[in-house]
Amino acid sequence: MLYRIVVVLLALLCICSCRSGPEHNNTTGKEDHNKKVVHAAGFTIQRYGSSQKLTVIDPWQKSNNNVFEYFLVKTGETVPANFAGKQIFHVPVKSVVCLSTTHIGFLDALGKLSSVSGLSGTAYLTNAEVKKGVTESQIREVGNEQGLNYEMIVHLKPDVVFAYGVGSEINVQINKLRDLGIQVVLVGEYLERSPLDKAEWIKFFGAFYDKAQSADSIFDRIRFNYEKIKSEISSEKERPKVLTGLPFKDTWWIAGGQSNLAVLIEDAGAEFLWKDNLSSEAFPVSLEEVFLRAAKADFWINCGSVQTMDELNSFDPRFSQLPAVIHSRVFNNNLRSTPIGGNDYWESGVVHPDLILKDLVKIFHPKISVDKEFYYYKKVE
Amino acid sequence: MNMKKGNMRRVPMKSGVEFFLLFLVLILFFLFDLLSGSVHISMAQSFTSFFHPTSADPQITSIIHQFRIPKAITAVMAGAALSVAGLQMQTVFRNPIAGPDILGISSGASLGVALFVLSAGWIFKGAMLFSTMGSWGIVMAAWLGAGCMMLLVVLIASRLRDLMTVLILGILISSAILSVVSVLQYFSSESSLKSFIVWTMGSLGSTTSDQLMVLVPSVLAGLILAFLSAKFLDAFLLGENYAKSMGMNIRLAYLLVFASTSILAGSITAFCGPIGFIGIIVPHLARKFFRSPLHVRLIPATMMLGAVVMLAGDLISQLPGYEISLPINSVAALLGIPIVIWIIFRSKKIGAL
Repeated sequence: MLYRIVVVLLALLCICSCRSGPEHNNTTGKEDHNKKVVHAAGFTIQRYGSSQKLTVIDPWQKSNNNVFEYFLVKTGETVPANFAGKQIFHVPVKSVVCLSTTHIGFLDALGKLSSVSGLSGTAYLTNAEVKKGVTESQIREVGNEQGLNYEMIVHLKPDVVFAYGVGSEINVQINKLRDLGIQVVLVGEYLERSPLDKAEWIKFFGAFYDKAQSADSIFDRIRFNYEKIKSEISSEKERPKVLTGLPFKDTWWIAGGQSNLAVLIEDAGAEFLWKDNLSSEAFPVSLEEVFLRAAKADFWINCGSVQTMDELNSFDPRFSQLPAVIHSRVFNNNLRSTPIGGNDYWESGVVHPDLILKDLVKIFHPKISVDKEFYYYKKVE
Repeated sequence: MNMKKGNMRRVPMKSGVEFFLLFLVLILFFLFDLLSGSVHISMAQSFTSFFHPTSADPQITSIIHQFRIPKAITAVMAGAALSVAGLQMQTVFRNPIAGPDILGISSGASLGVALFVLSAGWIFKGAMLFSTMGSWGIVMAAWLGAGCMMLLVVLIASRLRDLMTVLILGILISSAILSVVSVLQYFSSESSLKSFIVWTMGSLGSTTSDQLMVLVPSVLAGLILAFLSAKFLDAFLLGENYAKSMGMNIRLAYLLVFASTSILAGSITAFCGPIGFIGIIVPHLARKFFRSPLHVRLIPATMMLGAVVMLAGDLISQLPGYEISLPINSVAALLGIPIVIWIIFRSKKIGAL
């Protein structure tokens, strides 16, 4: 009896294991090996004639081998044979829902803000055109994460929902939306290691609007500007030291040594005080340690949503003795922010890393760039 | 003379000697706490900072004076305040697992802070309010919350005759308040949520010197009130009815005890966030070591023992040698639970009140 049970269980095990594993790309037949060169690690684009296959790789933190494939076919054209049975998107898309305001930055650059019918986080918007759309009810609030308003999304009937995931639980949302007949695309731009790679996601969005060339040229321009500023400053010998973040209670969350901010600081010809840290995310440091190390800081940037020096000192007056504070060299990235806490740095900043870099160079090397205005940053007084 | 059992029957020391020893231990732990922190500072360096501040490294001196000393003082105050508050609650309700927040003081404080941190966006028309007031804002919000909760409890207690009903109502209201806090958390942004969660983990190191100037007098006021209620507490031990039959002014007794508890627990929760366990554990330890039911002895014993335990907790949470430290709430729990278990096994019944 036991023997029979074991055999049955083993058989079941074999059957189950046959089905597991990520979806394999069964493209038989001829393919156009026209793989677009993309430096960003989070996505790839492959052309098949006038159709495209977008692959998104590991779009959330601690994801391992999670691959999502999206097959884009131009409206009116026939679906290629090797796309049969896959998730097809007909491009250009006419109506979209964005679950993050960073997507607004990309769509604005592509000139496709009018396609947005739903958005998450409308309260924190800075873009004037989108805000107008919200007040006129052209663009509806769809909630976020647990509070996602599925009924609203179904009512809006978008061609695609641009979502982002923080963990694997995003699959629950995706499946739920798919059950409701809504197609979801995961955007992982926030995980990119460098600001240029983040900006390169404009090509991803461009594919959905059939504006690949436009997206390419926009990105090329951004990259050209960025590299130009970076190479101009790289000859500068003096590299001031930089502190980031804000104290809260017993700890200070410092940007990771491999984070986007760290890259920006290095590219702007300065030295991040925690550049030896290996994390790409913010990590906690004790107040004492920060106090000791920040005594060498020439500048203090990205201090939360602080607007004035008094505010800064109210968090922890002990840090008002830092040289950066005494010599009034504190700068924050909230020049373009709304009273309620929205900040354009997180909206359009994703497609303007060159402007961010220009601001940072102006902060760290004031003698070099004298007559350029700040775009995202302002001095904290 | 009961020598038969052979089980260590301690020769009761004169309590004066015990107090003196405890005081020495307190000083010792205080000094150890000054030495512990994420930045490595040797004993020699600390001595020079203290006695020859001009010749010491200014950075090290700054760290000791601005970070370590306030933290150590906060630990002493928090330990003493929470333990005495816990003692009072355990006596009044004759409940061995009562703590300072049994009447919902820390829930009230949590609600205040939650309203302030989590809904600053839409209730106060902008996160501006949070930023402009920074740490003081949180303190005021917590105090207000704790104070309102206390007022509510006192109101209820004055209407109801039965103390047990007050306790039950206090617990129920406390739960209701925490549900409201959950709702606020549900709707808040990620960064506000993180700030709130960090607050609930408790922190001893974020009180600055000017905040100490408010914290220390409040705690001392609460402790003085506790002393004044010592005789009442002794009577409470025998039961409310017995106390009344002895002609004790019950209303005054309740007022003193509740006022003292709310000042002590409210102040600590306002400045350090909600810290649990210490208030429940330390009174038991004090009763074990000092073997006296008299609150005149128990209160100072609990005070000092509480300070020692809190300092020990802080020492552990600093994880000497590592750059990061643990939140004090977790350490208090991890420290407290083995102690409780040890007490149970030693005396086979918990809290011989």
